[in-house]
Amino acid sequence: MSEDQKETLPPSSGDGGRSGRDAASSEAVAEGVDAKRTASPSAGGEPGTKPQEAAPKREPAAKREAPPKKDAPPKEPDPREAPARALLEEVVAEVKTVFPDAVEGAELQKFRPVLLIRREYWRDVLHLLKTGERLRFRYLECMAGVDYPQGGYIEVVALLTRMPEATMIEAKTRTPRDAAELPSAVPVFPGANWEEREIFDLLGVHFEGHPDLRRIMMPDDWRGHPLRKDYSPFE
Amino acid sequence: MAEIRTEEMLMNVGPQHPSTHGVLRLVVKLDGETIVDVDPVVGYLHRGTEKLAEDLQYTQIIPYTDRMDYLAAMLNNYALVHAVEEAMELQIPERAEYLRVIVMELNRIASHLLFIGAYLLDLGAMSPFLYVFQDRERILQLFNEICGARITYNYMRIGGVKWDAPPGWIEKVQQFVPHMRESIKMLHDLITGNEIFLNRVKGIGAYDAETAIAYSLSGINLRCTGYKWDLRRNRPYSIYDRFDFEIPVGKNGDCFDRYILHLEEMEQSLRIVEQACGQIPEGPVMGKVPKILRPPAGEYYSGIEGARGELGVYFVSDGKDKPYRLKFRRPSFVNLQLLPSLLKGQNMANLIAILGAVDIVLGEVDC
Amino acid sequence: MFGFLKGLAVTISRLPKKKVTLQYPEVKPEWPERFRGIHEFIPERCIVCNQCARICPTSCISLSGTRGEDRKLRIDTYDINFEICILCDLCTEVCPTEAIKMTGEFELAAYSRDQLYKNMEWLYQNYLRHSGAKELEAGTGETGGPGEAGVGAAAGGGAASEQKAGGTDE
Repeated sequence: MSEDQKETLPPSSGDGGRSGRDAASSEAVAEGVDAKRTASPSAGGEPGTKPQEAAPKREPAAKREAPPKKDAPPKEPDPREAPARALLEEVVAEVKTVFPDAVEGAELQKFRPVLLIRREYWRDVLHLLKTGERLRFRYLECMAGVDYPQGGYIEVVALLTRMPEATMIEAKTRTPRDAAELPSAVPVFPGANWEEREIFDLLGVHFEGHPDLRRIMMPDDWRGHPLRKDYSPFE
Repeated sequence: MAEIRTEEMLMNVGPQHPSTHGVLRLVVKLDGETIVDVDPVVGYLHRGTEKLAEDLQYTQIIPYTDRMDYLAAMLNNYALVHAVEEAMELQIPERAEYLRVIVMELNRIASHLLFIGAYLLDLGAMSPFLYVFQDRERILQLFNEICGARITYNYMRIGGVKWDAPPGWIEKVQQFVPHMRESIKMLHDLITGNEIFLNRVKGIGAYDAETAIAYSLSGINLRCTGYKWDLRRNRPYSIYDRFDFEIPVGKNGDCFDRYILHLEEMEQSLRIVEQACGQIPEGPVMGKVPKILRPPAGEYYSGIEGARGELGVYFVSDGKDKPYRLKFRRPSFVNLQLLPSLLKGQNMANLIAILGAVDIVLGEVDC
Repeated sequence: MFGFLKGLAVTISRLPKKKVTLQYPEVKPEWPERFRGIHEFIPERCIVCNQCARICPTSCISLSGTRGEDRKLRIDTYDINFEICILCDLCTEVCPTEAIKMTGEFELAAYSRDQLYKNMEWLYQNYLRHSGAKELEAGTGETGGPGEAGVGAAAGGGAASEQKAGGTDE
C-alpha cells in the first residue's frame, strides 16, 4: 500500500448530547475574571534580573519561542511540524508493511502523530508498535475513551512513548457505540489493565481477552456508563 | 500422625484502615501468614471529576483538580492549566512561571515529607510523623500567605497565577531552604540508619525496570529501579530547562530505594527553589488571555512530573469554552496496578510496607 | 545499633525546643490577609451582575434583585449554600465591585444542614464582624461614619422582609 493513500481523520469535534446552555452566558463571566486579575501589584514591566547566564537555552519549550512567530505571517510552518510529520510517515509506513490495511487514517494533532487503527487489528498493531524493530514505543502513557454519539462510535486512545527519547505517538481506534467491543491491550501492555477497566466502567467498551473485566469506579450493580454523553442518572 | 487440615482465609484490609492512606480496600487471600492473592478495590472516593468537568469552563475545573491529589494540589493545578495553555499557545509572563515553579517544588517537598511521615507511621514509628509535620506546616503557611489556602490552593490560572507573591514572601522561602536542608539531614539521622527500619524495607517489594515500564509506572516508582525518567528533564516543560538539578535514581527497586529517593528528591527540589528565588524577575503575573477560553478543536495531551509520577491531562476540545472530554492520567491509579503481583508470596506484615512505599493518594486514584 | 542511637540523639536534642502546637479552641490561629474563609457580603456595593453565581463551580450562590426608581439594580436576596461551597474564591475574583469578599472565619460546623444556608443578612453581619469592624477602627472605609448605620438598617430590613416572605410561603 502506498503512502499517498492514507486519508486524513475527520475532525473529532462531536457535539452530541450537549445543549447550548453555555456560550453567551460565559462571556460576561470571563470578562469579570480579567477585570480583577489586572489589579495585581506589578512593579515595572521590565525583567529586572535577567536570569539564565549559565543555563543554555537548549530546546526551549515552544511557547517561549512563540513571540517572534506570532507577528510573522502564519504561513511559516512551526519548526516542530517537519520532524513530527516525518515520524508520522515513518510509523505509518512501518505499520503498513506488516498490516497493509490496518491504518484507517493518520494526522498530526498538535505535533503528535495520530494513527487511526482498524479495530480488528488494534492489539496486533499495538504489539507491533511496542516491539517493532524501528518503532519501540514500549511505554503506555495514557489510555482514554471518548464518546461521539453523533458519529455513533466510541474512540479509545492510547498514548505510546519511545522510552529514552520521549517521543510520543497516539494510536486510536473506533468501535460502534451499541456493540462496543475491542480486543484488549493487556497482553501487550500489562499497565493497560486498570485503564481498560475504567473505560469499560465509564464508557461501556468490552475488552475481549481482558483478564479481569469488572467495574472499577462505580459499584458492581450500577446501571449505565456515566461518561457516555447520553447518560442520565435518573432512569 | 494425622495431617493438619488447612484452608485459605479471606481478609479485608480497609476501606477504613489507617495504613491504606484513605479508602482503599484490599481483599487479601491468606494461606497462614503468606499472601496468596490480593484484589485492590478502589472507587470509594470516586466523584466523577471527569464527568463534572464536561459541564464546567476551564477556569472552573481548577478547584476540582485541587481535590484529586490533595497532597500536591499545586502540581494538579499546573497540569490542567499547562495543558490548556499548550493547546491555546498562550504566553505566560516570566514572573508567573517562576512563581509556579517555586510553589510546585515546595509542594513536592510537602508531599514527600508527608510520604515519609506516613510511611514510617505505617511501619510503626510514631515520631517521624510529628517531625515532618513541623516542616510541612511551614510550607503550608507559605502557601496560605500566597493563595489563602493550606490544602486546596486554586492558585494557578490559565495564563498565569492568581496572586503575585506578597511582600517578603520570596525572602521567607529563601530562609526556608537552609532550614529544610537541616531538616532533611535530621530525617536521615533519625530514620535512615535505624536498623529496625532497614530490616523492614531493604530488599522488600523489589521489581526491575522492565516490569516498571511494562506496567507504565512513573515517578519514583520507576526511578527506584535505576531507570532515569523524569519529565522535567526528558520532556522539559515550563522553565525547568533553566535550572541545574539532578535526577536521583535507585538501584534495587525495593522499598528502601523508594524511601531514600523521596529524601533525595526533596534536596533537588530545594536546589530548584533556591535558583528560582534568585532568578525571579519583576513583572506581571497574568498574561494576556482571551476573555473566553476556547482551545481550538482537537485533542491535546500534556504530562508533567507530579509528586507521584506522571500527571497527564488529555482533553478533547470542540472549540467551546468547556472541554468535550477531559481525562486525567493519575499516577497513583496507574502505579497501584502493580501491587497485586508485588504482594503475592509475601507475608502479611510486608503488605503495609509495600503498599506504603507505592505512595498513593486515594483522591487521585479514584478521581 | 549505631543508627538506632543516632536517631535517639535526634529525639533528645529536640527536647528543649519550643512547642509548635496551638491550643486551638482557646488560641485561634492567625491567618494571613489572603485567607479564604467564609464570605462577607456588602449589599450596598452589589450591582446584581450575577457573575459570582455564574462562575461558581458548584452553583452554591443564588441571588435576586430588582430595578429601583433610579434605574439601578438593587440586590434583594443573596444566599450561599455552605453545604456545597468549596471556598474556591472564584466569586470574589469576578466581582467587579468587591461586594463579596472572604473573611478569616473558618468555623462552619453546625448542628443541622439548614444552618449552613447563609442569607444576605448573615453575610452582612459577617462583614460587620470582620472587614467592617476593621474599617471602622481605621476610620478609612467608605462605609464608615454616619452612612454605615443606614446601610445596616437597609440591609437588615431587606433581609427581614425576605424572611417574612419565606415564612408566608411555607
